[in-house]
Amino acid sequence: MTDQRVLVIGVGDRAATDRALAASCSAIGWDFVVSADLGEAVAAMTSSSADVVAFVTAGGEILPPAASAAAAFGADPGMVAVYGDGEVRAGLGNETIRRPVPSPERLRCQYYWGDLVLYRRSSVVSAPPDTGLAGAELYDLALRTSRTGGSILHVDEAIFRTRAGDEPLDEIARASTRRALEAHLAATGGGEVRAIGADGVHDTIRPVKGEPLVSLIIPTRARYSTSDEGPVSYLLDAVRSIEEHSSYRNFELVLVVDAGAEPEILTEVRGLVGDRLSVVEWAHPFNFSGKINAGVLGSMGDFVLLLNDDVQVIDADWIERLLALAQLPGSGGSGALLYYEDGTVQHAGHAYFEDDASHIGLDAAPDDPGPLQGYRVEREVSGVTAACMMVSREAFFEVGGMTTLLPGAFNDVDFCMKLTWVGRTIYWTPHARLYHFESKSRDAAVHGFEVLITWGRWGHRMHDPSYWPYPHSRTPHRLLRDNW
Amino acid sequence: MPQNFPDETPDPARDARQLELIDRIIGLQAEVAHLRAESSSEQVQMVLDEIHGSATWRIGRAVMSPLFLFRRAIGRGNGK
Repeated sequence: MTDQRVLVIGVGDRAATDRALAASCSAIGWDFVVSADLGEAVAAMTSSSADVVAFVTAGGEILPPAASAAAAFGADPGMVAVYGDGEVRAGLGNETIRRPVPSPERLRCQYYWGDLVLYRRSSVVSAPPDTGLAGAELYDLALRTSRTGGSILHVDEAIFRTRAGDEPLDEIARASTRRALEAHLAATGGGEVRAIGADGVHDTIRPVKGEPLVSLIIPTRARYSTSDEGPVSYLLDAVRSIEEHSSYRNFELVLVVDAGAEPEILTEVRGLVGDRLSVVEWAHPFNFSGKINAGVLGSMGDFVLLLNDDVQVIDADWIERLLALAQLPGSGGSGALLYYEDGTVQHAGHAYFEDDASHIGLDAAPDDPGPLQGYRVEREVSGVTAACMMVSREAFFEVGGMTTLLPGAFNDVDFCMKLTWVGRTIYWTPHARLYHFESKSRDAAVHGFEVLITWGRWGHRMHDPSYWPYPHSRTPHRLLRDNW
Repeated sequence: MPQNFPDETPDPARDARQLELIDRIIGLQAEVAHLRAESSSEQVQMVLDEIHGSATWRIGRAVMSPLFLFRRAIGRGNGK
């Protein structure tokens, strides 16, 4: 049990009228104050001598791991807030709600901390919930707490069990949420609140700073492929799509082409983008990493956008959305939402889970919100695919670009591992959407040496549930690796 | 053409080699961390001695050091 004295404040009708909540507080030895009005709750908190104040916003039960959550305040004097996983009753059993570790960019899109959040009482007394933000007081408190620089802990055990899902935000709560988010963005580098969702998912974006040159690096064979309609050039289709649909205009296109490229295709590309085209010739055996490095070395931009040649742009502002995240302080780059040709999800970030690396969201339906609405919010990730990744030139060079030891598979996993290894943070956005015409059924050509190199470097980090604590939807790599 | 590395005129072939050296250094650091996580300290020390004696490590350190000094001098670091 904890040596911290905890005052639980039930806020709102659902928490204030819940007898089971009061009973669970008693069982764990915490004081419980019923308050349907946050102003009264603040007064009770101020006059209390408790070390920790716990706000509960739903009916339910506090679970025993909450005691160790409270103990964290005693162990770390810099701790200002603790939240944890949760449970919701589903049928005859309980469904666990896994939450990510503190993720400041995700927090501006979604209040994901849950129905029970613990704060150091002295911190909250000095900056109490703003009762003028009806319906968004605790979201605002979380946002302000995230700006203090104090430690915030996620407990990866369920600390609260609720009986029902979240209630939709009413009009007053949505207006308050907008005000809280606008203030938060203004205090943390700027941005725009584009929409407030009644379901708790908010469309907020970071601004693009200046208009830096972005170099699109596309390794390509620049040849025709056969299709039912005759010869097609994915590259030409991709460049047309970029040129016709992108609102960001300060970009150059760097093609890294193999010997044997079709001159006709290159001529057509030049016709589309003019003198913004650079061609780097690749006269070596296939090595995707080597081609990317050669393209970046031959580019001019302060930001490089690594791109496959079989993509098609959906969102006009896709470059802006990627660039804004790649410009954040300490950024290790940003990735996009990619769809297969049939509209199912191909990529919503990388996840490294249970000793395996895979894409988040594989095969999900286009309207699938994902666990904890994860496919709908900008967020921190462990990595992203190099099929579409923006990164600053500075970050690219800091980690030595992409490793030429991995010519085909896992070079983006390794690249992202290096970027986070040096302390950078990688982001993903659902607002930069592209089709990626990679075959769903194609077997990834993974060689044993690529697995050995990748896991030899990063095996100890191949279970990283920090930002995505959910199992993969496909697990081919580990199974393959175990056979070598 | 932007400078890819400080204090140097652009030279794609040399810059590609320099990228590889930085990659190898980080890769070796990662391998050591991985071994530390998996193995006993005695085994790790043997591998560490091997790595620190390797040409890649020594050349990489030589390449990286002026980079770090330069970055520190102009206060860029890694943005943190």
